[in-house]
Amino acid sequence: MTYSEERLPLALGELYASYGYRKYRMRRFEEYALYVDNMDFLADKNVITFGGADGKLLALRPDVTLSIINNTKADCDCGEKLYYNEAVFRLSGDDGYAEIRQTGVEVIGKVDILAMAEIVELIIKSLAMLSDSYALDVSHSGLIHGIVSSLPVDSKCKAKIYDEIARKGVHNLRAIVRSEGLPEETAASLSALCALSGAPKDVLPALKDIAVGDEAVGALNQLTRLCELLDKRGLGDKIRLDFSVVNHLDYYNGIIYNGFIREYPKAVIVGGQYDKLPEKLGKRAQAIGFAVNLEATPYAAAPPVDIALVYGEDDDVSKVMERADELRAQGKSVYVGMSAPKCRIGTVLAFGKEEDLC
Amino acid sequence: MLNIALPKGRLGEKVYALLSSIGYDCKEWNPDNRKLVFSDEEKGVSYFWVKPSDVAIYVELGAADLGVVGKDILLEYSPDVYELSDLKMGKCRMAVAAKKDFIDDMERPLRVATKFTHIARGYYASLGREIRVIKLNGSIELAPILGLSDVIVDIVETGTTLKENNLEVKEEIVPISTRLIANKAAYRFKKEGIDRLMSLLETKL
Repeated sequence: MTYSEERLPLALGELYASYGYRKYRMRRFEEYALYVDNMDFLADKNVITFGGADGKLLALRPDVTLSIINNTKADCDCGEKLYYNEAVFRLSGDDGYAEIRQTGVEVIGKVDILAMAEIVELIIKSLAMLSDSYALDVSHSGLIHGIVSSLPVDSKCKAKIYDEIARKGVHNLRAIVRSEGLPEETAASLSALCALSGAPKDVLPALKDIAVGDEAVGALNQLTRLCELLDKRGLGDKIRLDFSVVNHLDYYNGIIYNGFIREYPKAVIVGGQYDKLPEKLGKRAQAIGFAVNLEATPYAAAPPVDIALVYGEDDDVSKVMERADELRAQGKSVYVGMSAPKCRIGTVLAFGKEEDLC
Repeated sequence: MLNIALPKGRLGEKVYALLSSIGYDCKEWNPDNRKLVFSDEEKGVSYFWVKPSDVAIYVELGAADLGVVGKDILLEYSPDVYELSDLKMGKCRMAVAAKKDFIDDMERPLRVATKFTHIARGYYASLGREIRVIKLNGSIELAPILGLSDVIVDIVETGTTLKENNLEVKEEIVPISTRLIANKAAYRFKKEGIDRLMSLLETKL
């Protein structure tokens, strides 16, 4: 079931609350120093700043996670699960400023296999609320990092390899391997990693030959356990493993994921495990979370009016109103008039005939 | 249905010929009329004629599932798309060119005229050379001749235009060719169709 643009954030909040996540509210601005000190953890470094009353430089919040982790009291012994529904502000190239609505969840404390599976479950349920047609791609930063960091090339070349994995540029990867004089097996492994995309049952066996080194093997084991658990939860067929999901490798250190809906051209849900941020902020905790880009909802949301009930001059208006009440009692929003309004409508019904006029 | 954005012009026609040779031909196809969209329901393909520099935008924003675009555009605008294949057409290079007698004066910033400001900035940043970028939209070769810039960063195919204007290539930045790109969401929802096209294409490349 999909929701209207207005109802969706509330419905998502109810979903997260039903899993015991507490709503987190925050101020729209923070001291700029917080962002300067942690610039590496910001997806977008264009921060909007202004002078505060006491002369301190303040910033309109460009990111929610940083504020949450900065203020959390959670640690590995006593964690917390939070959700938010907030706007973030960024400088944009088009018209100067952008306000982006986001909702999302963060689990801070100990991130075990249950926490990972729960997050994936919440993402799948969130995607299903956005659209009837969705896809969730899961990857593991440790697997990609483990494989690439074991290569005998400099950091500049490694950065190029990460870029090509992210854009599925198999032909470019082969060219890099050739120019660096690496063995043909390396080209084959990287190309295979790049091209792999499919159900866990098909992809996991193929990864066994590619994952070399402790980090990559450890990541593969974790990914395998997660897929087994999701399978037991009946969610195994809802995810796909795809290693072009690189997101932001300096930020994430465990599983990472991108969720897509058919109606929107980019990922609408992005996230992963990000232990490095709490560590940098001096917290003794791990963290995992995701954000839903609510800007995608106008593309996907259900029409604001479910039914337009159109009546004629000869119709008995009290019966028209009764019929509208019946439909409303079925949970539908119903507009009544002698013609349909000029907006997106689910169904236009002619009173008495009850046939769809669309 | 696979929606494919083709760059308007000779290159687009060459790519259509390649795709039609692997079974993605279109009954309506006629590059000589002014129609911009050609579809073939039976073959499950629809082609759009798009300005070459706009192809990546159509694909990134999902109006097209696949597109054909030069590597120069991908390097300049870094669209968030998959780069699935090198079609090995339209081969040329991105290069620095200057007057034959040009000597770089390291005591002042280098003046660089170009359409490709992002590529130029990235290249000189990797060398640690301070530059002043002059953004031009055409006839880039004119800039060093008239003293507007010291060098240009531009696409060089045969080098004839440079030679005729008493310029020469000083450094090669990156080789360029035509790439097949895909929208990231379309790759999820039309994967079977895209994989099929890719495997047929492999046999021709």
